[in-house]
Amino acid sequence: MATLHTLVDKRVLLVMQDGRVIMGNLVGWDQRSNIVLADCVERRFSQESGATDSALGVYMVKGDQICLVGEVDAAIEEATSWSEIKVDPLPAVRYGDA
Amino acid sequence: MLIFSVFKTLTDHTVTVELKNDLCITGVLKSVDQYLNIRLDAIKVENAEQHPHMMAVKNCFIRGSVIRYVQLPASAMDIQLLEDATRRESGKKI
Repeated sequence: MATLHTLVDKRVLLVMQDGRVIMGNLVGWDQRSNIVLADCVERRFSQESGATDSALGVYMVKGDQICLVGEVDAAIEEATSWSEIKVDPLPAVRYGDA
Repeated sequence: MLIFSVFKTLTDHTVTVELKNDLCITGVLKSVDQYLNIRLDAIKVENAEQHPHMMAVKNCFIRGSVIRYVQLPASAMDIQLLEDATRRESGKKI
């Protein structure tokens, strides 16, 4: 997958098909977009308590569960107080009308 | 393969991608591959106030399998050419 080249060794944000958000350093991937992340955290969003991070360690994420891989801009990431951001989690992927 | 080629001609144009989780992302199309995975730069998420989750993300890679629609720039499309090519392509397979 030629298009992930530029993100290697960078901090990335994964949006999963179930709506979860996982951040980590991209250490590897393959042609099925399976991805290995180091220093992972899951960022949970909630309307009540704001966003909270919980550490996960090293993760291998199956490509078919991934929705989007974003490059994290360190400056914006640092400058944002995520605990004050009170929103619902992202919706899960829907197929058809279900 | 035809649509893959169409997307390749649209590199450096601004497109809006609607995902199957109802997120709409606008950005500059940087690259596309055979699975129609898409690289977008300088992205903006529609309804940014309600979707701050990706606030710190400027460039992203979207998995082709979760894309519902891609809104294309009409000015960059040659509809007649696309129509002809589509018919040629489908004729080949018979």
